Parts: sequence; structure tokens; C-alpha cells
Amino acid sequence: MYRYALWRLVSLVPVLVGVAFIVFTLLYITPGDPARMALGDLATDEMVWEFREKEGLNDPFLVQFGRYLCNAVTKGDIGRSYMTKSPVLTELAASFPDTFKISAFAIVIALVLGVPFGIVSAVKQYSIFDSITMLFAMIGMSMPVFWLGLLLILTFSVHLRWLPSSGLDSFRAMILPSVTLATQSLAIITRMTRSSMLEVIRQDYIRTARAKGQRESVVILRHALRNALIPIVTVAGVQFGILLGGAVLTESIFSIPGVGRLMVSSIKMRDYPVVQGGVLFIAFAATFVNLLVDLLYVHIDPRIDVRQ
Amino acid sequence: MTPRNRGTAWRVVRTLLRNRLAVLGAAIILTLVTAGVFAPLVAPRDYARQSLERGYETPSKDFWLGTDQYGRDVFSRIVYGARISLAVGFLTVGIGLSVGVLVGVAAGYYGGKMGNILMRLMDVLLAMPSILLSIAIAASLGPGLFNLMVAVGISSVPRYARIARGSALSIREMEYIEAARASGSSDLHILTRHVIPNCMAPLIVQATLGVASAILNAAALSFIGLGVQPPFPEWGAMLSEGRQFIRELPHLTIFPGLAIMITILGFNFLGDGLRDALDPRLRN
Repeated sequence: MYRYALWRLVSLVPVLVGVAFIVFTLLYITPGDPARMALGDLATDEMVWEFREKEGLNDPFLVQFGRYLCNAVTKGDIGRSYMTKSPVLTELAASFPDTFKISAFAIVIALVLGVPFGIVSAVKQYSIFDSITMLFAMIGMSMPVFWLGLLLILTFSVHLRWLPSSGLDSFRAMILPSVTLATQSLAIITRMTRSSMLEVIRQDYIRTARAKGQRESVVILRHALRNALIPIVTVAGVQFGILLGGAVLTESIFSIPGVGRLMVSSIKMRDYPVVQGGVLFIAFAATFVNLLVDLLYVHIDPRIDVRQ
Repeated sequence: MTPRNRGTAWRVVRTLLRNRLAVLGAAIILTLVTAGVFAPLVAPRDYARQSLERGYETPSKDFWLGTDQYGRDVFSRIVYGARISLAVGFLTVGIGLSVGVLVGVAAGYYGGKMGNILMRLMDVLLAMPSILLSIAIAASLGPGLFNLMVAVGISSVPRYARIARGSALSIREMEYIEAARASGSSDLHILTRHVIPNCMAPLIVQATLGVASAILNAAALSFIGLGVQPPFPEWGAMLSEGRQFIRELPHLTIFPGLAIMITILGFNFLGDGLRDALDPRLRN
């Protein structure tokens, strides 16, 4: 198992280098001279030239990428903000906990509600409950997260005054952003649970379990759900990665000082190293979550042989 | 179209017509396309016409969905916005689908080292959440309608490439491909006449659902200032502008968002219906 985990970790390296390459290329092709942006409009041509030489910006593209990668791996240096001049990684590390907090709460909401809704929908296929749940799931999948956030603010903060519309300093403040962020994942997990359960409850071993006289709850929860869990866990893992990325919009609406809001404000100020660093950071986090999900499979389904 | 293909197409259409939600989805899309194409006839006013003395109005008989801070008619802007959103949706999927099919079919049909490299590149792109990849590309290219479409289009390439590769891998082993090769057909002929047409069923489903996610991603990019710029009435940009008046004038936020949601819902209903019709095994 440990060898498998290590192998999976090593196999992530090329993907992460690839992500870094794409992010670096995008930064490289961005119009505008990074030296001029860092030094400001008042800098003379000599100062710009000196900066370019010092930072290695006159070197060929691949040399620059090699140095970027080397600095990222050895020093954790993925550039400096044009605006604050501080290291991008320091800024990202300061804002990541808030992003993680609302994303984690959102995935918990999506799982706690989505799995039971999906199970009942599958067990009561074609019932009114099933139709209503599937309709709401479809609406949830179609709802723009930034619009839902604004509607929730309008209803629960402006009109009812029940919950705060910004910040993340209390549990109450976490509710609206997390619900906003969770909605799409909730819809997807509900649909996936339903379809995965429908596949399983038609299997012979479920009929056998029923024929043995086991209670319906045992048949569904112990026999069916356990076997339907792999696709649900896969989707939940992918969704968590998407939530980390999707938090960009939610944080911007609810004024949460996370990675997403940092990226949006950096986009507005054309502070590209922070934008690209944010993409890199979240892509790393999402890839790592997917690795954890892969490792979880072995615990969920003992038939999976890691040696293969 | 051969008689066999005609038969399959009819079966798909018949199955689609029996699916009420798919019909509803198609009706929504048709209405939006009609409204977008005939926007000058449907919209009571020009989308950019300002009348400052009539600004900040709530919905009324004169202005069905109210006016914004510049006195522009929100209904007219939403109608014209359908043009932009649908164009973004279709063209973005066009970009993603054409590049994705080329990459996927080449990787699947030829395989080998080149195929492997192409698919690892797709894996790298897939490692980034698509909205984030769109943001990164749009931030590099700069704001604007064309850049927005390129950004969202490129971020959707890996999804199409994977599907196309999967189909091409199985199709290349078929006897009719061997027969085509034996009869001296060139690779280009085999790819364009046999492989790509036979890959299309799952790709059509993905493309229909892809239009929905493209519109959603494009609206999100416009919302954060990376997409269509004012005064063009893109729904995401309208939402972003209306956001500052959410307390006093919620209609500026509610209606553009509703337009986005109904459009996405239409494509999702149709996409689900198409998937059921083209592959009944996936119905659940």
C-alpha cells in the first residue's frame, strides 16, 4: 500500500511539471513587460534593462522555465507580486485556509445531503420524490454560482437579516458562501448516487440479500451503497477540486479573503504572477485531492488490488 | 446519408420527442435562438440606448424588466444578450470540439508515442479545474469577446479529446477500417469518412452539455471582468454591473441570472435527452 501511494505520488510529478509549464507559458505570452510592471511607469530604460538582466528575463524561454521550476521546487519561489512585492507563495499560503474552509464545508454539505437524496431517489425510482429531486438537481446544475450567491445575500442578508453577507469570522458567516458553493456539487452527487445505486440494486446479490430476509435498510445501506460508493467517491473528489477552483467566484461575492478573491483582485490590477500562482496552487491542491481519493478506493473496495 | 443512418437518426428523433424534458429543452433553445437572431424585432429598444432621466426604474408597462443606472432597457439588453451568450456557447464548443476531435482521433488512431504525449498533455489540462484554466488563459490573452471564446474553448478541449480518443481506439480495430485500408484508402480518407463520423454520437451529447458549461464559464469570466466588456449586454457582465445595486434594484441582478439559468437548463435537458436517445444504456 505504501509503495503504491509512493508510486502514485511520483507519477504526479510529470502532471504537476506540465501544469507549471502551461502556467509559465501563459505568463510568458501575457502582453506587457514584467520588468516595466514591477518597476512602474517612471522607471528609465536602463533600470528596466538592469532588472531584466538581474531577474533573467532576457534568457531564452526554456532557461527561464527551468529556473522557475528549480526555484519553485527548491525555494518554494513562484514569483513576486507586482503590487505588494511580496512572494506569491506567502500571499497564497495566507489566503488558502479560508478557501479550504468554505470548500471543505461545501463538500460536506453536498455529501451529507446528496448521498441520502440520491439513495432515496434510486430506491423510489419514478416516484414523485424522485421526480422532484431530479428536477431540483437539474436546476442546481444549471444555476450560476455567482447568481445564486447574490440571491442568497438578497434573501437572507438584505431582507430577512438572518445571516451576514460577507466575511468568514463565524460559523454563521460560513453558511451562505458554503451553501452557494455546495449547490452544484450537491446536484451532481445526488444524480451520481442515484444512477450508481440504480446499477447496483438490480444485481443478483441484492435480490439474494432480500430473499434471505434481511431488512430493507440493511440491504440498501450495507449491500447496495457500499458497492455503489466508488463512483460517488470519485465524483466527490473531482468536485472538491472543482470547489477549490470555483471558490474564485464565491469568495469574490462574499468578500472572503481567500485565494479566489486574491486572484480576482490581481486580475483587476494585472498582477499576473499572483493570478498564475493561484492557478498553479489550486491545480496542485486539486491533483493532491484526487490522489487521496485514489488511495481511498482501496479501503472502500478491498477487491481493488494495488499491486496490479 | 445511407438508409441505415437515416433509420438511426429517425430513431433518435422519435426517442427525443417522447422525452418531455428534452422537448422542453429544445423549445427553450429554439426560443432563445429566435430571440437572438431577430433581436432588433423582438427588443423594444436598442440595447445601448441611454435615457438617464429614466434610469433606476423597476419593472413597469413601459420597461417590462426595468432599466439600469443609464436608463437602458433591461429586457432589450437581455434579448440582445442572447446573441452574445449563444454565439459564445456555440463558437466555444466549435473550438473545443474541432481541436479536441483532431487531438483525440490522432491519438487514438495512430497511438504510439505521439498519441501518448498528446493524451498526457490533455491529462495536464484536465488537472486544472476548467474555470481556473479559462481564467488563466483569459488573463493572459486579455479581456474581450474573442479571447473569452478562445479561453473557454481551449479549456474544454481535453474533454472532447478523451471521448474522441476512446471511440477512435475501438473504431480502428473494426473490420470496415481494415477493409478500407485493404482497398487502398489513405489515412486521411479513413479518418474523415469512417473514424470521425463514427465517433460523433458521444461527442454530440458532450457538445450539447458543453454549450451549457461554456455559457456558464463565459458568464463567470465576464462577471469577474475578464470577458465581454461594457456596453455589450453579455448576461454575466450585466449581473456584475447590477450587483452594486442589489439592495435597491434587485431586478438588475435577478433577470440576467434567470436568463443564464433558463438557457443552461434548456441545454442540459436536451443534452440529457440526447444521451438517453443515443445510448439507452446510460438512461439512469
